[in-house]
Parts: sequence; C-alpha cells; structure tokens
Amino acid sequence: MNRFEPAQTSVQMALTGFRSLAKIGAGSQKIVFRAERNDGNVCAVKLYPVDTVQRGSRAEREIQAITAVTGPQFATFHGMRRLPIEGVEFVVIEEEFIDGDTLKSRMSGTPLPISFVRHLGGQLLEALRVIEACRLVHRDIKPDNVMISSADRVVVIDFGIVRHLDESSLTATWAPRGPMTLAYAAPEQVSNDKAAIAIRTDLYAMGLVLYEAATGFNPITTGVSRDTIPGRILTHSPEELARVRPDVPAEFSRFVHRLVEKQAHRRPQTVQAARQLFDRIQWSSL
Amino acid sequence: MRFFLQMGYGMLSMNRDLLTRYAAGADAGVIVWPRTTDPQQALSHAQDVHRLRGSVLFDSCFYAPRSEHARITSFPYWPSADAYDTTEFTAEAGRQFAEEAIRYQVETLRVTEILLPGSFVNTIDQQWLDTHRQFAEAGAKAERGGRRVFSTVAIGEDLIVHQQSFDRLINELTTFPVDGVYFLYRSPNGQYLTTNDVFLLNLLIGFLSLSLAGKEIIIGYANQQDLIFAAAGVGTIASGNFRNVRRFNPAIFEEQEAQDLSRKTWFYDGNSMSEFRTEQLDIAYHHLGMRGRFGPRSPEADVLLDAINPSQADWPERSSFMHFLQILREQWIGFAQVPRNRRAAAASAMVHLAAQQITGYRNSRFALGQRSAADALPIYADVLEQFQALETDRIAEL
Repeated sequence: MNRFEPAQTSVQMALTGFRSLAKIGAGSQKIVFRAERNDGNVCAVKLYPVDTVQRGSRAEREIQAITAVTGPQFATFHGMRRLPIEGVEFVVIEEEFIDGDTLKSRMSGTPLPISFVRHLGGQLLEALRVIEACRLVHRDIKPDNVMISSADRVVVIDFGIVRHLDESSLTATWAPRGPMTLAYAAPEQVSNDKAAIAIRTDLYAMGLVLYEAATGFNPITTGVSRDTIPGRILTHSPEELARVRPDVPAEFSRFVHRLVEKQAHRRPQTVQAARQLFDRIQWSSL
Repeated sequence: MRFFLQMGYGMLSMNRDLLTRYAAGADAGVIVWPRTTDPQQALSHAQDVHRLRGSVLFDSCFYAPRSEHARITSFPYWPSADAYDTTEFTAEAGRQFAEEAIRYQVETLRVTEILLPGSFVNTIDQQWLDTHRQFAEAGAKAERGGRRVFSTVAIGEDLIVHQQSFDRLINELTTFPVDGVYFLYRSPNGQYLTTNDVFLLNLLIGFLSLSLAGKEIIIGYANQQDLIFAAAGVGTIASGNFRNVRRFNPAIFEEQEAQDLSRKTWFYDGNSMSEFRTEQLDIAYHHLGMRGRFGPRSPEADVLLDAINPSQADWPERSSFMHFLQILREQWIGFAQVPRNRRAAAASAMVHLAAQQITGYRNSRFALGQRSAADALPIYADVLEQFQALETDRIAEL
C-alpha cells in the first residue's frame, strides 16, 4: 500500500510555527522537510502517516529509537506531536537539521582519503555503541544514511527499519526477508534469519561502508545484475581490501573483512569487541 | 580451567574421594544426574559435594523428552505427557518445564550453576531453536541468586558436519541470553576418539565463536579427545568412569538398561592419550624393555607401574577410573598455565608429543591395541594446524 502524501500547502497550514518548509526526502514511511522556524532556527521535520496498523507500528518503533539514541553521532531530538492533515493522522517529529552531505554524495564513486576512512570508522563504531546499548539494531547502515557535516561530524540517520531486540518482530516469520537495503544487507537479513540479527548485523553493513569508502565501490553490488545480489550476499567474499587499496594498513583490511564475514558468529559479537580490533590498527603510515 | 566429574554407576564414593584429593574449589565439582540416582540420592550427594567445597551442577537428562527411563522420569521437574503438542512443547508448557527444572536445581539441590534442560537433535529446525531459546529466556528471568545459567546443547554428528546447519546453530547460540553452553556431542559412527576432521574442525570453530561471544563452554561426557578444545577457549570439561559417560550417547537416556557396564580394566597412558590393558603392559615390560615409559603417574598408578607383572597388580576397576580422572584433570588444568590465546599452540604441542610417544611404542614393537589414539592423533594434529591457520586473528582475540 502506497504511503499517503499530503499536499505541501496542507502541511504548511497544519504545521504552525514555521515560516518555510522544503521537502528534502521521502521514503515508504515518512516525508522529511527542512523547516525554518519563525525565530529563524532551522530544524528537520519528519511526517509519519499512521494510516495503517503496520505503518503506525513502524513509526512508533522509529520514534522510540530516535528518542533513545543520543550523542554527537545522532541528530538531536526536539519534540513530537500528532496532527491530522487532509483527514489522515500524522506523527510529526522535529529534530536537529544536519547541514551537510550524505556519505554517498561525499564518496561519489571515488576512494576517500585514509585519514577520513579512519575517522569514519571510529565515529560509526561510536554510533553503533550507542545503538547497541539501547538494545537496537539499525538494520539500514549505508552511505545514504550517514550524514557528514561541513566539520566532518558523522551522523547516523533514518531509523525507519530499526529492530528492537526486546520487542517482537514486525516482519512475518514466513516472509522471505525483512526490510533492508539489499546492497548493504547482511546474510542473515537476506535469509530472514531473525534470531541471528543483532548488532553484528550493523557491523556487517559498517564493514561494507568502510570498504566502499576506502575503494570507491561496493564489493557486493558493483558490476553485477541486481537479481544476482542476494546470492552474492550469501556466498561472495569481497576481494581483499589491502589488494584493492594497497595503502590501507593491513590490520584495517583484516578488520573490515572480519566485519563482513558471511557467518554472523564469525564477526565481532559486540561493538566493544570490534572497537578493540579497530584500536589495534597501526595507522602510523598516515 | 575447570574439571567436573560426570556421574555414572559407582561414582558417588569416587566423587567424594577425588574431590577430597583435589582439595576442591571453584575449579572442581560434580555434575549430578538422575540416570543412576533417585531424587533422595541426588540430594544427599549434592550435599556431600557442597560439604567438600566442590561445585554442584545438575544434568536433567532431558535428551529424550519421551524417555521411558524410570529413574530419569521420576524426578519432580519431569514434564507430564500433556505438556506436549504432538512432539514439541506447547509454548506455556515449555516455559513451565524450564522454570520447574530451574527451581529444582536452585531450591532443592542448591546448585552452583544452572544447566537448563536440552533435548538431543541431529538436524536443526526452528522449533528446536525456539524451544531452547525459550528455556534460555526462562533461565534469564528466573530467581537464581546470581547463579550463572548454561543452555544445554546436545547434538549429533550430522548437524555438526553440515556446515550451514551448524553455522545456523552457532549464530543463534551466540545470541541466547545465557552465560554459557553445556555442550554434548555424539561422535560420528559412535567412535570414542573421532577421526572425522571436518567434525572436529567445525567444533573448534564453533567453540571459538561461542568463546569470543563471551559464552563459557562446558563439554560434558568428555574424554581425552576433548583436551584439544582448550585451543578454542573451552574452559570446562566433565568426565566420568565408564565409557558411556566419557562419550555422549543419547540412547542411554531413553530406556533403563539391564547392564551397561564394561568390566575390563584399563590403564590411561596420558603420555600417548591412549588406554592399554594390563596384559599389554606385561608384554611391554617383559619382552620390549618399556618399563618407565608409561605415565604420568597418579596415586593409584604406582602399584601398577611398579609391579613386576602389571596384570597381577592390585588394579581394580576403581583404580583404573580414579587414575583416568586424575590424569585427565591434570592434563586439562595444565592449560590454565597457558594464556587463552596460546592454548591452540599448547594443544597442538600436546598432540604432537602424544603422537611421538605412539611412534616410540611402535618402534619398540609394542602392540597398541584397540584403545590407542594412534589413528586419531594425526587427525587432531592436522585439524589443530588448520584451525590455527584459518583462525589466527580470532584465536589472538581469546
């Protein structure tokens, strides 16, 4: 069922306290605006239609998550309210507007400097540490969901398909697979092995993001047809990072390959374990 | 490193003697079971072990849920037939059974750590995983006075050698809300010492993943083969007297057996990780000049190894068992002297030394007999070498 999308004028009329709204994104669950308050401050406004039970539940999970995670690696939550727009109930979230680019646009198919890759790795680990502590799995870590501010602040966004480990799954057990972005999905997501999904699932995606940041390409999806991707996720091991980009430290290459192990039990099981590996990397050549 | 005594026929007094000898502390204890004890004996033995300052654990022997074994099913936690929905528990009954089994261990036996029930499986399925996760969740929620909780995982050779299934099992176990796993495996073809390299390598890799996930592993029904699993971070093994408690066989929990004892007496030669008959030692001493080459010694073994004719020595079954358990414990506890991430190399060295010993026996024309580790040791050596090569980074993290 397609998400209901109200006209922008209706949104503008319903949302009081803003002098301008500019739509900057829309997904299956929400519409996102850059909003300028009457006092001149800028924030992000997210509109979640709760017109179906499923959408309502997902929106509720996302809101729980974004109010739980705090720290410089996340947008600051400002507030929430419920509003009817064009006769449909919406949940409206206001949060910090991150002024910057997505990691995807920063990369644009070219390898990033190793010093930045190192910074990115450290910041993503910190973000995942917070996510893990909240008993969450983001499940959609990817370059589009990582914002980079002009001061190189790294911010993880979009908890739209977050999994709460202490709550029942919203995906049917019989479903072939749960929600995901295929290009960064871990094998356990592709096979909908729900019990195996844990923070190590996000660590897998982080490994692919780092690989891509260091090389400029996603080793699972690049140069192959879309219908072969699920199979490659389950069976294809990326070429050794240190061979593709010889100037990365060998320990960093090994670290990335540990994160993208096909079998979840072979990856670091906690962010702390991953952090210990990351901190042992000799970056001296930088 | 901890070494526990696994119950078996005639183990009650041996447990007391061995625990006294060990000057038991946290690294020693007994896994009480219902198979050869009634509830009153189990309680009284648990109290004895507590008095001797040993750890008390309880194996509920739930390997065959439809068991007709009179002793096993006589214990108060055992589920009634109406707890099942065809073959598996109903959801509520599963939770209640786990709670009953925990309550029995905590309130009656006052165990040191809790072993959750677990049924034997040789092919993995979602229902088995769900039921055992439910047990684990019941353990996590139970009033347990700070006791650590272990899932019981009893599995067969088909599951272990089937890579996809075994990975799936380990993937799930690493997320169970428990402190560790009481792990029981049935060997391929019922071999006492396994020569299946894939089987052993998969176990090593699985144990390594569980260890790195912070799960403590207790290998139950262990023998000298299980010494190699120190390489993967395994912290505890449990072994007993007869072979049916040194190698896991789920069939023994299904029905009461009229006679399941093997009445021959053997000598465990830790040097070669092998067992020999006393008559073999006679030949070795008198015809091959091999006196002094068997060992290590235990308090029981002196009378045998110093005898002119070992087969005429006072070497009853009990001495044979006490010696085996003493030496196996020493070999296991010896790994405590080695940092965890160097135990793979230490296990490898142990296996190589044992293999050299076997070569020496062969060179002396000693007939190795049916319980030697001659066939298994080269497999252990190869598997440990492969394990170290494949898992260098992860072993370093132990």
